[in-house]
Amino acid sequence: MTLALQAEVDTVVGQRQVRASVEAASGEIVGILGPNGAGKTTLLRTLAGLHPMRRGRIVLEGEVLEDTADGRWTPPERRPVAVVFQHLLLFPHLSVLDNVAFGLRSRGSALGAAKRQAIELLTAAGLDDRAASRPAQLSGGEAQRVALARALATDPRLLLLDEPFGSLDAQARLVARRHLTEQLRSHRGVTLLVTHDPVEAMAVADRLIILEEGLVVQAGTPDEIRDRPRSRYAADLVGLNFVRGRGDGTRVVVAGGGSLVTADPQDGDVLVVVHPRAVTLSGHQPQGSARNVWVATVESVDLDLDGDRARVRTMGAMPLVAEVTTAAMRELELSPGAEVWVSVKATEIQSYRA
Amino acid sequence: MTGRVRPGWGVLALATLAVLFFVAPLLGLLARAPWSELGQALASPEVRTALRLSAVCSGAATLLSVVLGLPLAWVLARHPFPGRSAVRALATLPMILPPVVGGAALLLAFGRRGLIGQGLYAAFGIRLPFTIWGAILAETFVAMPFLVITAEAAFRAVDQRYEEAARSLGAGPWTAFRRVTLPLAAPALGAGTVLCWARALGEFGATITFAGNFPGRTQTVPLQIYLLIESGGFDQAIALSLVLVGVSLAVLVLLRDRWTSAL
Repeated sequence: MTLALQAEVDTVVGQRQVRASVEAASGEIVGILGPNGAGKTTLLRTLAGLHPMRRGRIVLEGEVLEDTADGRWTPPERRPVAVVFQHLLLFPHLSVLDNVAFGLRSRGSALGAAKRQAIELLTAAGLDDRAASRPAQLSGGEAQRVALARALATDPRLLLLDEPFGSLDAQARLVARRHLTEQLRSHRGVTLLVTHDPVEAMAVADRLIILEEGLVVQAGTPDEIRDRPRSRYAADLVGLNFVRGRGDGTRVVVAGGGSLVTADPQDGDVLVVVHPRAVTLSGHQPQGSARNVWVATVESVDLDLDGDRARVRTMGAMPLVAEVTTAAMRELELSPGAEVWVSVKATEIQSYRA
Repeated sequence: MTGRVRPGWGVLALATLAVLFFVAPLLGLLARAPWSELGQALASPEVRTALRLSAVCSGAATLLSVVLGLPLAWVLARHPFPGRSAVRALATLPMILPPVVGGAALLLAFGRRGLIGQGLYAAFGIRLPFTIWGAILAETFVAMPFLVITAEAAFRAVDQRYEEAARSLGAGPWTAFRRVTLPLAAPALGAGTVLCWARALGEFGATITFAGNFPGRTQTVPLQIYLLIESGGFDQAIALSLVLVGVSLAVLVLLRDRWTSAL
C-alpha cells in the first residue's frame, strides 16, 4: 500500500493546539471522529490550505503541498483538494449548474465545456432537473448532493468532507449516506470524512482516526476501535464501559478506586472494557460464579428506542453501565437512587495495555 | 401589530410638527414653481451649461470615489491592521466636517502654494483650484465617505466562508472576489454608489471654496442656484431646484429600504 496522503499537522486555533498525523492510501475513506472542539474542522482547513500551520508537512501523491521546514506553501486554489463544508456554502447568487461548474471554470475550463460537464455530474447525482434552481430552492438533501457534485467536479486527489450530513434529518441522512458511498466509488483520491456520528463513520469509513483535544488518541479500522477503544470517548462511541487501571496478575486496580478480577493476567497500566450486557444487576447478593460483585446505586435509567432494553447507569467506586431487558428492569424496580448488586464475570472483562 | 400602545398626544404633536417642518420647504418650492415656464427656464444656455457640468463633475467624482473608495473599504472590512479605526475615522471625517472648511483645507493642500499643489505645479504645471478638476476633487472629497462607509458594511456582510469555498474550488483571491464577493455585495455597493453620487451632485460649500464659481468650468447646479437667488433669478433657481428635488426623490425610491440598512 503506497500512501497517497502523508500529513503532519501542528497548528493552533484559538486556545487549542491541534497536532495530528494523517496517512491514507488512494481510494481510502478515513473517518475523523471526535467530540465538538476536538480540532477536526481545523485539521481539514489546514489540509485545504485555509488555515496556517505552525509546523508540519503535507504531501499528496508525492507532491509537497506545504512544508514549514523549507517554507513551501501551496495556496488553496492550487491544491488538488476539494472541500464539502459543514454548511455546504453553495454560492447563493449562482444557479445549481454554475455552482457545480465553478471549480471547472476556476481551473481553466471553457464556459461551454464546464457547463456540459456540470450537467453530466448533476445527471449522475439525479439532479439534472434542478440545474437552473438557486441553492435556496433546494431541499437539504439536494443541497448536500450539489455540494458533493461541486467538490468532485474537479476530480480532487483529496476530498475533505466536514460533517456533510450535519444539516439533514435522520431519514435524509440515510439516503445521503447511500448516495455518498455511491459517488465515492468512482473517486480515486483520498477521502477524509469528519463526523461526530460513530454510526456514520463506521458505515462509510475504511479506517478511523479519533481526535480528542487536538490530539490523535487512536487510529485504526472500525473493528480495532470496536474491540480495543483507547479512550473513554472512543469506548462511548462503540457503547462499551471503559476503565483505566493498573494490572497485577489477574487483578486490576482501577484508577478511581476498587479493583476487578480478569481472566488473562496483565501487568502495568491497562485499559479495561466491559460490554454493558455483560454487567448483571440483581436485587440480592448473586449466588453465581461471578468474581466481581459489589453494591451500587442506580444513577439513571434510559430506555432504548425499541423499548425492550434499558441502559442503567450505576454510581459508586466502579461506575459501570448495564444493559438489561425492560422485564428485568421492572422486576428489579430499577429507578434512580435504587440499590442493586452488580456482578461481572472475569471472562467478560477485556484488558489490554494502555 | 395589534395591541400597540398609542404614543401620547404630546409626542404625536411634536412628531407631526417635525414632519411639517420637512414638508413645508418642499411645498413652498412647489407652490412658487413657474410650471408653465419650466421648460423655458431650463432651456436657457447658462442653465444647460450648469446641468451638463454637474452631470460631468458628479459622474467623475463618483467614478473617482469608486476607484479609490472600494479598495479602501475592502481593506477596512477584511484586513485588520493597527490604527484601522483611526483610518476609518479619517475617511469619514468629510461627512461631519463643514464643507466650507473642507474646501479651505483642499485649497491649502492642493492650491498653487499648497502642500502638494506647489509640487504639482512646479513639476507638471498642474493647477487644480478654480478648474473643473478642482470641482471634481471637491465633490469627491465630500462624497467618497458615503461610498466607503456603505461599501465597508457591504463587504463585511458577505460571509468570508464563501470566499474560502471559492478558493478551495480553484479560484485565486481576485477570481473569488470578482465571482463571489462582488456579486454578493453588489446590491449594497450599488446603493452606496448612488448615495455617493447624490451627495456629489448636491455639493456646494467645498466646491465654491476650492473651485470658485466660474460658469462652464466650476459653476455646478447648486452654485448656480445660489447665484440666481442672489441676483433675483428666482424662476430659474426654482426650476433648477426642482430638478435636484426630483433626483433626490428618485434616489430615495431607488434605495428605499437600503437607505438605512446600508448605513
